This record gives sequence, C-alpha cells and structure tokens, in this order.
Amino acid sequence: MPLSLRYIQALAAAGIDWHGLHIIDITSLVYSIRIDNARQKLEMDKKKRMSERGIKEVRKATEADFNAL
Amino acid sequence: MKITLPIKSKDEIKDGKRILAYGEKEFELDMSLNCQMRWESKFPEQAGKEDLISYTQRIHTVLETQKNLNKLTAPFMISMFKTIYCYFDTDLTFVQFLKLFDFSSLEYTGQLINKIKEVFEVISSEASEKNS
Repeated sequence: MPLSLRYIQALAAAGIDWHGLHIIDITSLVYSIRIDNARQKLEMDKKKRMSERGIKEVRKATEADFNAL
Repeated sequence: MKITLPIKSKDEIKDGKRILAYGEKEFELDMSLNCQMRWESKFPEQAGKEDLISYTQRIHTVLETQKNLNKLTAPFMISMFKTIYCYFDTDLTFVQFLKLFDFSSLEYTGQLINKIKEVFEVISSEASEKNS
C-alpha cells in the first residue's frame, strides 16, 4: 500500500482530518500515533502476561504490607 | 500559496537566429499530503525507496551547503526539479514542466536556482514550529 494511503488510514483511525495539514506535520503526527499505539500494545501485553500469572494489579508496597509478611 | 518562477516564454529559431524571451509563471504550492501522492504517482520507483519529505530534506541540505550554485550537477538539478514539481499543483507532465526552463544562460539559471532555494525554504518553514 502506498505511504500516502497508509498515512490517511492512520490519521482516519485517530479521527484526524488530514486535509490542509502540512506534509511535515502529517509525517510527525503519523509517527506520534505509531508511538502511542506501540505504547498501548506494550501496556496491553504487560497486563495480559500479568493476568496469565494470576496477578491482578501491581502497586507500591506500604509499611503495613511489610508488617503483614 | 502562489509562487512565481522565471520561465522561458519564447524559444524559437527565426532567420537562423535563436530568439529567447523570458517571463514568469505562477504555480500553486501545495504542501498537503497530495504532494506525497504526486510523488508516488509521478515517480513510483523512487517513491518506493524514499518518502518525499526525506528526499526534500536531502536535496535541501545539498542546496544549502553548496556555495557555488553554478557547480550543481545535471542529475542534482533534475532531482531538485522533481522535488518542487511534486509540491506544485499542476497538470503539466514532468517533461513539460522541465521544458519551461532554460539552462543555456548562466545568469538566468542562477536566478532560477535562487528562486527554487526560496521554494525549499518555504516548504520547510510552513510546517508547525516544532516540526520545521
């Protein structure tokens, strides 16, 4: 698929109207969207791995948690 | 945005003499995603290897660092014209576009290259501040 169509697809998925935007700004936006998507995927993968191991959530240990050990 | 380039308005042989006249032509500068689409449709082979923004930046860097504009090579000149051609909203083919310009006069070519340099500067400066 041509790069321009891939850009249109990425911008449409993010709800951004590309008409009138400068090509340099479009390139920058598309890369930002890709970075955001990659971060989201990493976060989802992390949560999936945690749930597979039976971990519901990860939070900072408190003094009470140490005392309860 | 409109941009004017010096073109040859007349180029003919009359009574064995070459008659050459210069004029100006206005072009509509289109810096939207359409220029990448033009890049892909007019120069598919190159578009497969590099996007228009990278190509533009590469050509612009050479143009900025080259002190003596008369020393620019023919392949580089063609690359430069290819780039600006994609930013112009025009029905002309690339060959028709090239035929608008005269490369036989050093003075005219110098003026033309300086104008093209301005086009490159406009292209880069029109993006948002953080991206330009």
